[in-house]
Amino acid sequence: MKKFLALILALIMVLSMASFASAEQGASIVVGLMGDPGNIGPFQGMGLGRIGILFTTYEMLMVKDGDEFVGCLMKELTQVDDLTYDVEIYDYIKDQDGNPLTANDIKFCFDTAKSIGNLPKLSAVDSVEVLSDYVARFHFTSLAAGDLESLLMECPIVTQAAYEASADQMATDPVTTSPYRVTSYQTGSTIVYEYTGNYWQNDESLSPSTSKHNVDKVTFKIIPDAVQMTNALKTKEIDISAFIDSAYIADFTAEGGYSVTAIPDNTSKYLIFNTHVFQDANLRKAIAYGIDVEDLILFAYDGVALHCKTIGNNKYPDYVDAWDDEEYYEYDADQATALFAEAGVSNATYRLIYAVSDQNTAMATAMQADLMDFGINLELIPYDSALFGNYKYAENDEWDLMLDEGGSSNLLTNVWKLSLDRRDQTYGKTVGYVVDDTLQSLLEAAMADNSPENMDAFHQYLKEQCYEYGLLAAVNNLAHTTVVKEAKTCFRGQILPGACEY
Amino acid sequence: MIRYIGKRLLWMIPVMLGIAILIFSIMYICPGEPAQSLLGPSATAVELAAKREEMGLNDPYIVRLGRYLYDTFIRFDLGTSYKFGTSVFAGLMERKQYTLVVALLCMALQVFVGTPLGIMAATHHNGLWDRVSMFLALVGVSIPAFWLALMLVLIFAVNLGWLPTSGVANGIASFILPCIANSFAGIASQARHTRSSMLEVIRSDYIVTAKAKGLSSKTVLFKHALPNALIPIITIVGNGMGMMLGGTVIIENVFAIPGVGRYMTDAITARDYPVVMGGVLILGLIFSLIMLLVDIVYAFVDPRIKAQYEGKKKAKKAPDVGTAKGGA
Repeated sequence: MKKFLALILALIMVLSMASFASAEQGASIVVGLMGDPGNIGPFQGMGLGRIGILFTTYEMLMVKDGDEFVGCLMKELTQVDDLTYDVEIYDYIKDQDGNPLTANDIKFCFDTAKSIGNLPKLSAVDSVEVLSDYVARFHFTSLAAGDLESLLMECPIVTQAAYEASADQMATDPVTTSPYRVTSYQTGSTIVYEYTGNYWQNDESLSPSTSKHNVDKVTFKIIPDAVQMTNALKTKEIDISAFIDSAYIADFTAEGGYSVTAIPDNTSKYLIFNTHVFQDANLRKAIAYGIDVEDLILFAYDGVALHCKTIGNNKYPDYVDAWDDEEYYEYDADQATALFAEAGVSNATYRLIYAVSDQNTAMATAMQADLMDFGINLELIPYDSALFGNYKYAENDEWDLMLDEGGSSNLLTNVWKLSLDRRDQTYGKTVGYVVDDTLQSLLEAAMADNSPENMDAFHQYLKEQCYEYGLLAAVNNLAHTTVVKEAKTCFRGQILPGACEY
Repeated sequence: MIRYIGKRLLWMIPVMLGIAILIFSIMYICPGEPAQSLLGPSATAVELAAKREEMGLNDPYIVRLGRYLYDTFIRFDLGTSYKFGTSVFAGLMERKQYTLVVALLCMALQVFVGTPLGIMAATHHNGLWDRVSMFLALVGVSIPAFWLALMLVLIFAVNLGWLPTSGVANGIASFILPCIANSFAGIASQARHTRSSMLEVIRSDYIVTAKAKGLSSKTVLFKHALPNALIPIITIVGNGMGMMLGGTVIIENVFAIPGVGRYMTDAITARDYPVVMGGVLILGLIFSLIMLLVDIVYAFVDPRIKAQYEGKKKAKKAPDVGTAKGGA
């Protein structure tokens, strides 16, 4: 028995040593990813797994590099009229199989993506017309501020020849124009990319950070559990991850060979009032004054999050900086008490729904504790994300308060639009069931022209009515080992392995 | 025997039909928004409603059920994953090996560790070995698999660094912790049932007789006691396989093993109905086949059961023989 046990232990040690010895250093990086993209094809909808690998896999006509929108495949953009633009692409683009990329391929990609229907934003593209080998004319049905950039960033571009040659619509082996090609994909486990060595863009100055290739091999390791992600980084099975829980972030110290960077997420959290229940503006304001956002930041994010001053964070180009200095329902117990009294509410119970996550649960619990001081009892009702969507997008009386979140790749107006544009809801009201023509017209004005005046007009009106209350902007904790000297992320807060410094 | 197997296989058709209707109805009742997993979190209500219509999710229950049953049982098509846009059957086949490796290794641990523990406890009844084995069994059935899994990771992966924390990239080493965590309760249950079954047998008169005849304890144990105690043990093994397949759902998530269990939990979260229904159907089929296998093994282990099958066959043939003889 003893011999048998000794043999088993020896076997385990040999196997594990052999496995760790095989890990390469220097020319490769292992990135921890929480979601499984499942299908790496170009025209799939966005999800946690897909966002993480998107820029390593594909290139688009345009990307956001830092705070600027720059062309990636696109060389030049020319406006023809309000709803028509000509896009010229570089004339020397080739995919990983050597197929040249032309305007026909651009048309093919947009047409295919629209027909598949997983990228719904593309419905604003009426048609794409091929003017020459390298110029495509885009006709749009409507364009609000920022829509043009969003739409040109929305659709991954591949050549028609490569797409049609693929047996599974590139679900597992996409052939793209990116510097990295998928060399192995074990569904739900790992995706390995290797630098092709013949990236089409030879002029480094024209290459945005999303197309950099500073490392030869990138392995995405899919680990859906946050604790296991932390363990994998501790054992250095992965080199970098943006999904380290705040509760464990203190474990990754410089002495231990780690570096941690807090990356502001483009999503922010806000509270939506069901105006069937919260008809009185004073009651809505009383709730807002009664919540101490600093408590929420401390409790849910270990003190590392941004206190919002509107619905959305201050990272968007159309954010008005003056809002940072103005009063925005900062915690005020006296004011809250007075407003509750004015609204004639005491000892009430309200149902707060939210999509279940560690942070949301902590935030909801902190709000519950804060409001208890005013005799307000919050009944916390967490739902998984699919079920939360059911309640969010239907007119029902299953909730009184909703802890929601939203973000945009480009403009603040697009964050506002998510829950406040009545045209986007099937029942013709905002998510909080508001029917307010002034609010709608101010929003439409800001979306059409996001000038500081229009932005401020909407913001001030929303603040005055307090239909929704901006809480905080989330922060992702990006931790990495010394393999990475400087971590780089895309505008969505996702790691760009090719752009990191090694 | 072949007739019996054929009959049992035919019985599986209504069983599978029942499973299909049940899981479809559960998923139909279950609230949630499958279109969101396709379009992403920034999709608007209008876009989601349009996608739902396109996916046929607004059709009445009976229309959707009919379509599902037709596709599954007539066209043998489990459908396409909403989330991944790939064939559900291909997805299950791609992931099956991981689930089977975990389930089979867990079964092996359950049988080859749990059974000797139970035998040892029974043969040393009320002794130290019995108490130690039963204490371990009690601990085993009481500890939740996910907790044990995380503790094992902390000790053997994070602190000692002997084994990987998660994933399948390290070959067989990747499966050691998941299998121990998943099989611990099974080992405990197997030990307890083996012990009670063995205790019943070793108190029988024929065992006393065998001992009185001067046979060695090894011979008495393995030739006379164990074969007669095997029937309840085999039943536990059969049920255990089902439990192991179910248990992999949790273990695959904790250890990031890309098996059928994780495919299904991801699908449940995303309301990816075709994957959930396909996965349940395939697991149901596997479990039914295992139960059939258990019944067949009964016949090989216990001559009385085999005689029952053959007896029925002989009983049917007997009148013909009698008539023939009578005629002669």
